[in-house]
Amino acid sequence: MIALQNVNKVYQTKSIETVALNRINLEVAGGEFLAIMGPSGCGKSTLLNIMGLLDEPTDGAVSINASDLKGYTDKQLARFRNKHIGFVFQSYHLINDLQVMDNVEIPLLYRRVSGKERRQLAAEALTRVGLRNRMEHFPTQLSGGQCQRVAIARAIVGQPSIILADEPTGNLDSVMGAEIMEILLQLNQENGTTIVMVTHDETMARQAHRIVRLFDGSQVM
Amino acid sequence: MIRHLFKLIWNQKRKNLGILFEILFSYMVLFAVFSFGFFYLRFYLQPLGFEYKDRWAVFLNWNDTPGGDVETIQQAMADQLKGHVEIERFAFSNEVMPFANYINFTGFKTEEKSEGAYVFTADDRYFQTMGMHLQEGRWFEEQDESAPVLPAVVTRSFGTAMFGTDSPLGKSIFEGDNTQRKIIGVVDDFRFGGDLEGRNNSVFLRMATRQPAPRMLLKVKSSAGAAFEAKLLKDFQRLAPGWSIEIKYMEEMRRTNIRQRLIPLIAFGIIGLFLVFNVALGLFGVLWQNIGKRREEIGVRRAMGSTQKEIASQFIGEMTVLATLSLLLGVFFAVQFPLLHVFKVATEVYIAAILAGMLVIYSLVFLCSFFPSLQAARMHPAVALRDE
Repeated sequence: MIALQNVNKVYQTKSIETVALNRINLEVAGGEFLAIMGPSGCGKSTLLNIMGLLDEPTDGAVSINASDLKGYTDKQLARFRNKHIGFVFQSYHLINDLQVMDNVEIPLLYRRVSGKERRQLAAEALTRVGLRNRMEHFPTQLSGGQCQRVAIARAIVGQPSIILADEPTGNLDSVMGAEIMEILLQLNQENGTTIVMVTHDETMARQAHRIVRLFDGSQVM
Repeated sequence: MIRHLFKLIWNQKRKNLGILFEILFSYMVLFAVFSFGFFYLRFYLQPLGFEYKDRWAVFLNWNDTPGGDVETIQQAMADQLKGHVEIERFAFSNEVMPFANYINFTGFKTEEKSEGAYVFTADDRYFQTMGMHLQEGRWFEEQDESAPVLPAVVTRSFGTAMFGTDSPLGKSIFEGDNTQRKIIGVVDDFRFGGDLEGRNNSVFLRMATRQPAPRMLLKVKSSAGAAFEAKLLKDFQRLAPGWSIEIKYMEEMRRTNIRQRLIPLIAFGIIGLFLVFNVALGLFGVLWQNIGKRREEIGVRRAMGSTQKEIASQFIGEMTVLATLSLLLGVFFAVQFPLLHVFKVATEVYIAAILAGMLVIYSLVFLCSFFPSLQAARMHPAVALRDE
């Protein structure tokens, strides 16, 4: 499903060279729930960004669903992300000026889905995360857990085969965190969605099929 | 996507209200500038009703010369002019002439109506010398010297104002002192005020054969230049030693006239452009700042599958929708001017100004939003999300 071969990521400024990822080789099978752990600054989010085609590796190859993505144009990458990948971020990244329903509809906008179908699919996704009665709310009117559920609804509305979650429970208390974890597990088990989750929480990580640990940009186990 | 843009704009209405009014304000300024501009451009494109090229105006001031002698000297001048091959035609008139600062405005009436008109006193040669255009009837002739009723030639505007669709030919008009004038000809409108002045009512009265004339108008060959002017002036001064005589080229008089009338227009235009430039700077700044504040949104949209082009289009689209809303409001105010006939300006002028203002605003909004939008589009999604 996702394959990374000898992936390096180096951030270069005028005088400083920072190695964020060092020769990462990783394969994530279809339907797998993978947790990535490691201390702050070890390159977890960079790895997730590269997997999600939000960033490019300095060296190495990334392939998703057997497609080698090297040489893809911006448009091709955008369309690929839109079709195959859903994102959940630690700080939710909801657009505060849009209602919950409109936030969830965003990925469908870029698929040229009709307004009626968009609303129907968004309502289904919100029902799935238990927020059907919050569709007309603005993100600022919701709790952190609810915002993260909206973000998950937005990630799943386009029915992607992969969900990349960057510390999805990082800003939540344990109860809300558990609720979010429950939703992710359900998606993985019921839909067979491949999930890659970055987390600091050992308890959450243990619920995944596999844990990959990073230290100073390198895979340690 | 349009619905999505409208929602986004509506939900940001407090932020967008400032931009909306800024655009509205600049549109109204542009509407005013264009209205003035088109108002005068329309005049500029209309015929003057006479020719000014290769026409010279001779200003004659006979100072203390006794009455009878003036006519004799002027006759000698006329005789001398006939001997110059450079002179094609010449005529005499009173002080009221094109591009000059003299006017003579008098009321005329019929039994039914009265109208004011600018009055010109000109001799029989004036019509041809000035290259005027006759619409009906004829210009003055020598036989009019002994006509029982004094003749008058009127402009089309005066004829229409006084007699509507009826031909003015043969009709009588009366000056303020009840002097009767019989209309013998109708000429094209005579825009003596110059290119930037509209049509007006004018009446030409005949200058008697031996009447002192303070102005002489010459139609010269195009080859006639400064040397001939100097020679002519010298000859005139020999014939009239005590007189003050000045020769002016009508082309130069026209240029001066335009320059004088353009000064306030240019000043107004500069103020208008300065205001619009400030608005453009403001818009550019607001958009730049707006994009800086919306990095998170840009990152999210890129992550969700938006292309660079779609991000740029979204920002430009938002500004275009805002501009359209402002213009709807602006056009609503602007159309009141032609509907209520404010300032008696032709409807076409207002319509042209409304359209030109819209065109400039859309261009301005596009230009001001293009670079910030391009910057937003080029923002790397990972960077946009990380910065947040």
